[in-house]
Amino acid sequence: MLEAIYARESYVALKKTLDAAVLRHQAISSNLANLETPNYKRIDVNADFDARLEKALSSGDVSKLASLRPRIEVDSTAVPDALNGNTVKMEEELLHLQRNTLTHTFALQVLGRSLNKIKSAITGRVQ
Amino acid sequence: MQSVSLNTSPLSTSMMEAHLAKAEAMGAMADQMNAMGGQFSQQLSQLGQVGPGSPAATPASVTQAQPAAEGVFDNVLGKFVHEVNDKHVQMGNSLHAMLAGENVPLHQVMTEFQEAGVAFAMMVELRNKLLESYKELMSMGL
Amino acid sequence: MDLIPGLQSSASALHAERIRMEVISQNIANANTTKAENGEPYRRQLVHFDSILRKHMGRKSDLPNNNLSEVRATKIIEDSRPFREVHQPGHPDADENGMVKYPNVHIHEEMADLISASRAYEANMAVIRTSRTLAMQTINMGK
Repeated sequence: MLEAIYARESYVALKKTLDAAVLRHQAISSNLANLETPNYKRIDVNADFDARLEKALSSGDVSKLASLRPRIEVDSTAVPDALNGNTVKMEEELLHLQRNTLTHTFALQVLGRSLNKIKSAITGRVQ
Repeated sequence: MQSVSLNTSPLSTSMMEAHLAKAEAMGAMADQMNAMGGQFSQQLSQLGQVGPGSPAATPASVTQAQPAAEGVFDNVLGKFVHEVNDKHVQMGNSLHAMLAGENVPLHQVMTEFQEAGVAFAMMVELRNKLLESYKELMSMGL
Repeated sequence: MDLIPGLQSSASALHAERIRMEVISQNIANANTTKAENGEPYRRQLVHFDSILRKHMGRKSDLPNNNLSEVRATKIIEDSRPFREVHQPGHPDADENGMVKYPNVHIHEEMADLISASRAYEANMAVIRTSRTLAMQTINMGK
């Protein structure tokens, strides 16, 4: 009976988005920490994650969504900026940080508020 | 909630009709309580049908219908309680792992915590509603 | 406990950049030291950074955090470029030809390094603030 709440597409998709956002934040932290490290290559969540999420959502199959696993990979599209082979560009990385923080906040808020609403509906009291 | 009208003329048939009406009312209550749990309300409406199929049924079939109805009920409720418990067990495991120093992501623990809370609230409400219905049913008097 | 995501990496960067800044200050302070303890002029020092992969603790995470690394200032090496030679016959450290060897420290280089080190420091501070905000949001999820 709980699948009615927890196995809904939008809910699972939100949880996966949050997973990816947390992972991406860690990747960005790693990148900015290694801003001055020679030959460091920028990392990020696997580039096809967004495409896979979209595909799983449009397929209508919740199990496909549930089986998605974001992971961290080296960003193959990044080219070295500095002479020391480092592919991290500070301004871009800070932009990634901002955008990802927004995604994280969004997913967390919607998730938290949905659960609150469901709880209100169940108990009949406003949470 | 649907209002139940009690027909007070011939003794046994009216009691059975009231019984049937009550079971149907319970089904309606379950629908409201859990708009999302289609399976559950399905089971409950089956209950209403498992009772006396026609007003002319004898008292014997009424008592016979009771255990069968309970069997369906038990399965649904039992499964639900297990699901709620699973959620709590999962949360407990994640929490334990986190406290033990393993790198469980914080958002995973918090989400599981919230989910367990909602599941538990649902179970409590279900129990309350069932208890209410049972009391009303019992207080009807025979 | 991974309460604040990415904290380890950022904290390591703060430490590493601080070491770098200390070395830079030392270079600047000794820019004109013609005779150091070893009898030679002061030789410029550089910090070498390495990225160290984070170690896995346990396995419980559904989110694999391989590839995440922190930074360490692993070596302090000496700049092997030649000393500056200045013609100063009256100087106590002048050689037979009146040439004095000065440290191979160039102030403009040091300033540029200092600026990029403090820039990196600020960036990592920003990340730490953000990480903390995210963690607090997560903890307050139900409210």
